[in-house]
Amino acid sequence: MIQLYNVSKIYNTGVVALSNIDLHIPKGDFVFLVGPSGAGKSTFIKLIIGSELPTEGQVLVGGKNVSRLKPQEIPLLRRNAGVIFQDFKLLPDKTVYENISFALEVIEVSRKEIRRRVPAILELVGLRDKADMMPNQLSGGEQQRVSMARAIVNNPLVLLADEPTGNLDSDTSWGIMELLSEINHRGTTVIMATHNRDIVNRMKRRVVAIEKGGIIRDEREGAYGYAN
Amino acid sequence: MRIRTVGRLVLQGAKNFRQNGLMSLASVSITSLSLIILGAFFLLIFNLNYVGGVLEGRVEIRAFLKDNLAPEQRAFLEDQIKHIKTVKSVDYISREKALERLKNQFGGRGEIFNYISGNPLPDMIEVRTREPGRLPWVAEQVARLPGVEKVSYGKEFVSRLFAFTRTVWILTSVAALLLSVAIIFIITNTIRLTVFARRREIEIMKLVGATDWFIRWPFLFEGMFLGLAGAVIATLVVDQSYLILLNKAQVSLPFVPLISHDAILTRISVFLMGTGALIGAIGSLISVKRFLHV
Repeated sequence: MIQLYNVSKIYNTGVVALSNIDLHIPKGDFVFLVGPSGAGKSTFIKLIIGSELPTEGQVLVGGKNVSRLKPQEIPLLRRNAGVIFQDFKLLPDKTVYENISFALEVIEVSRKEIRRRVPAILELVGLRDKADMMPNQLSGGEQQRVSMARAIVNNPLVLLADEPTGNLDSDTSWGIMELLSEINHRGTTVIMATHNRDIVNRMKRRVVAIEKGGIIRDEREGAYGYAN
Repeated sequence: MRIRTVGRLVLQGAKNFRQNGLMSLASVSITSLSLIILGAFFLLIFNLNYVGGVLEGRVEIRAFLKDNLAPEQRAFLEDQIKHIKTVKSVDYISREKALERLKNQFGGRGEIFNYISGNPLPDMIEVRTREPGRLPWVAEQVARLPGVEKVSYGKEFVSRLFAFTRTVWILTSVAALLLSVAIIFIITNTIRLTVFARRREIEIMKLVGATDWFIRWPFLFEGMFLGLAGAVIATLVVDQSYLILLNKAQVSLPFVPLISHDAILTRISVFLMGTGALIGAIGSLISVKRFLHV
């Protein structure tokens, strides 16, 4: 599903974000990316959605070499990779329903298809009755559910989560993790960058630890492994 | 791209235009002002070319004859001129006839010639050629013939007019360049405001895989609206002003040939609208460019 071969990323500023990374993530995997701030977790996600290109090495997503994609092929890559963030990135002047339908409208999904898919995805994330609310009327957990709905409504092959529970309390975070597990269970590969040791330790999923741009640990059913 | 999408993108562009009220207004004003200036310059150039063309067609050679030429000498001379290449026609104008013509040209005020004793004008032969370009050569040939005192033709005036037109062209090009930069600047700034106001939407569109063109089009439309709106105002102003000018000129300067209204204004309108839309589009592309890197 996702393969990195000897990938290095050095920013123009000279910062070495990743160096000589080799990693394979098969389809249907659930992977935690852990490590201190600035270790390269966000860069990893950016490489997969093609918003940064590797300085060296190859990034393959779904068999396609990201650095060889033409600029006009990048949008197609992103339609297969949903992303969620710590700050949700919802549009404040659109309702829950509109926030999700917007993501489909801008990739030119037919109106009929949008009317079919949006309620179904709201059902999945448990927000069917809040479709007409504005984001600021929702709790943090609910907002993250909206952003997840938006990320998966196009049935992506992979869901990338950059600190999705960073702004949420513990109970709410577990709700989000259950939903991520459900999405993973349906066949979507999930990659989650996180600092939440409790969640990593209890989920017992694959853990990839990155430090100073390199992978220092890669374990099945791993643990967070940092003292925080 | 789907038809529905096109509609959506145009609508979004119109919405941007509206939401940006004051800056849109400023852009349209500057654009129309600049295009009015450009339009005026181009009208001037077209007219100078036109006048030049008309005058060039009228240019003829006047061969002034030596005094007291015998009639048979004159007839021989006429015959010789007729045989010069590209000469179309030859007209003998006696000094009496020349004076008559001059009086007529002065219209009602011809009586001033009554105060001049005698006739100061020489006899002459007017020569028309088929090719205005050969004029200098023909003039030279005529001047060599015996019995010809002096030859004159309108070359100096025409060539000076064309030199003047060239200068105006250069001025216009410089003005066009500077004004285009001004228009691009103001439109770029206006659209930058919209782009900035919608940067979150743009970011999300990029993340969910909207194509760059899908993101660009509304801004492109907004820029083209701005440019076109300015161009429409400019066209109206230039149109009406030229109409008024034509009417006034007909009364006070009837002998100056100006291009008639319809022919020229269609071209000016198309030119102004095209320029407006194009410059607007360029301005918007510049603004969006920076925000497309997500």
